[in-house]
Amino acid sequence: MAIVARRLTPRPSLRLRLLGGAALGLAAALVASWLAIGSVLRGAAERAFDARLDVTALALMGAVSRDADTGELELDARPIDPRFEAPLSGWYWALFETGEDGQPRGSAVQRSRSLWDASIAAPGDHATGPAGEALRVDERRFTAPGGGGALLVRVAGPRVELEAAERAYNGTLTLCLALLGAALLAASTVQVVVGLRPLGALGRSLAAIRIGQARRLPPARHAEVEPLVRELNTLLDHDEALVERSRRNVGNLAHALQTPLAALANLMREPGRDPDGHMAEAVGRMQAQISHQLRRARLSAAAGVLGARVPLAEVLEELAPVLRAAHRDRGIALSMTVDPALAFAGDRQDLEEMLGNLLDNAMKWAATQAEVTATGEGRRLFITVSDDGPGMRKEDAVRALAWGSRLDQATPGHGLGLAIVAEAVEAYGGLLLFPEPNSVSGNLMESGLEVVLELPRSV
Amino acid sequence: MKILLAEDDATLATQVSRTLREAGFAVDVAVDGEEAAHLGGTGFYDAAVLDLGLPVVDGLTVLRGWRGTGRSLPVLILTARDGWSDKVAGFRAGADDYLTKPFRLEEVVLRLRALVRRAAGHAAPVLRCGPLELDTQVGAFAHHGLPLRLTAFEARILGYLLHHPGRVVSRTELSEHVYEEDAERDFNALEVLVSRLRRKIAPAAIATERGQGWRLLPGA
Repeated sequence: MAIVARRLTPRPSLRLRLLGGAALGLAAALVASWLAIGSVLRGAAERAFDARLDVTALALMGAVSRDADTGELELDARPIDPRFEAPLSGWYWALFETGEDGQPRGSAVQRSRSLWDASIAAPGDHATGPAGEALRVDERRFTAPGGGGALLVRVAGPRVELEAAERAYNGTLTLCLALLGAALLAASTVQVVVGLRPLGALGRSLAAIRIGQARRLPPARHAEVEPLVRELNTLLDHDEALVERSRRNVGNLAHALQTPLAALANLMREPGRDPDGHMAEAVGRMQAQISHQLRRARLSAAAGVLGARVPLAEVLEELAPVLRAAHRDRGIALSMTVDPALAFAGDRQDLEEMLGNLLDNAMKWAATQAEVTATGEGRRLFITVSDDGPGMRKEDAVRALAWGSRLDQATPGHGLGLAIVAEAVEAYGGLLLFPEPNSVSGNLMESGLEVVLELPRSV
Repeated sequence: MKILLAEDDATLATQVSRTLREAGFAVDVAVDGEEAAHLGGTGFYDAAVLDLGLPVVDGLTVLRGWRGTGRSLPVLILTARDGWSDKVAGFRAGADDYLTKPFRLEEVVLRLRALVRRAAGHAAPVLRCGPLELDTQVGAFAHHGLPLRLTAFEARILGYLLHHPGRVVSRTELSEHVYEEDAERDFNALEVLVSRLRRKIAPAAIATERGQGWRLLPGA
């Protein structure tokens, strides 16, 4: 019995591979989108913030004038935004006189109240205010009406407000993209599961063939699966044809050998042809050998074929007239009590061979009747063949079963059937059970013989 | 009693036909399926011995052909294929009995006698008509319990009449069942043989129905 090694490592799943690919692609696309959309939004927010600073700067520029006499700078109107009045609010403005280099000369000439006496640093990423807060600074150079040197106005706002805006839109963006990603992944999952469903159906169809509920795969509903189905069905056809051809060849060989041997055997019986009977004996041995080997060839021809479902009662019904004809003259009754739902998982000819031989044997030895009953338990089928004959001695049973392995000592026709049954039963992983021998008489049963055949059952 | 023997192996065919003739049967031999189908489909046979491995047309096809056209003659199949599935196939095609090669020649005779007897409607192996008896198992005739000595041809005639006692058997019918296919059919010779039989048994045993034929009567 061959031992099939099971792979312990998990097999790569097609479904996982497809889903993994989809998830990877989705993640990359979503991260890129998040980065691109984030940068666009950040730019827009910064521009809006800068525009607000610029409005104040322009207002200040319009409000500044220089007194022609004193050269003093005058501010007609201060920006009305109260945040420029609240101390250290983060919103500041300051006005500077500038030197030759365009940089502020001395301290601010005018400044917002919020700034107290502090100044505003030049625009830059690390500009900070008087309270140490990060600032975004806008500056413009101009000259005031009334002449004089160039002026510089700086307006600053707190970066923290910009960051708050950024956080707000970032949260929304992340949530939206996450939802989109989840929806797309769900869609891919559905697609993969639905898309791979024909493969699952194919697997179930093959299983149905293996346990004998179907003979061929049903036509594929999808163009992609169709070639696979066609190839598998072709393979099954080929398999069946191979068995069929091999059986036919065996049959032809039987005919070609047995017919001239039969003629030879008949010739040997004519008076004077074979006075000491040696030749007849040799011919008989040849016939038995051929018969046995051909039967074995038929059995092994069936091995390896995907199982079929063979209704037990149907096979018995077909065997009955053959058996009754063979034992008609002795008037042996044959009774069969078999549930029509019971079925054998295997080849029909093999079952015919096993039952035919067992029943033939039973009817040969029976005094008045032979009987078949059957039960099923799970995946096992138990067929009981009994007769009311003289029973069988243990050593006879052993010898009959061992016939196949001791061909050289074979007696033609004796126990041949039982050996074939034993061989077929073994091929199916079944059992041929004889009851315990009676200790007194040495017979397997006091009256009659009961044999139980255990075989795989098709459910 | 006439038998159709369909067997392609010449040696075996000769052995079987010789044995059957010795046992009191008329035998026609067909050497292939085509000839067997033709003879069985047109001739008047009491039984057929059919080898399943015939050339041209195989035995199962021949048998199905006969059954399909309503030929009900009993058929004993001979096969070298001794698998049970082959036997089942034979019975499904309409066979009445089978023999697996190799077989004993006496076995063919025994099976055929039983088939012919049952086909004529007799359940018991010994046929009786008044004091006349035929033990079909050994093919022996007796009259008032004493063995009758008959020639092979006389045995054929009396055998057929004993299978159909009390019924009028026409000259044509009798000739169909006792003459082999290639034999010259001679009604006058048949008359002579029947007369000889009457002398051996009893003059009144076989009545002549004028213009119709003969009838075996239980009275004498």
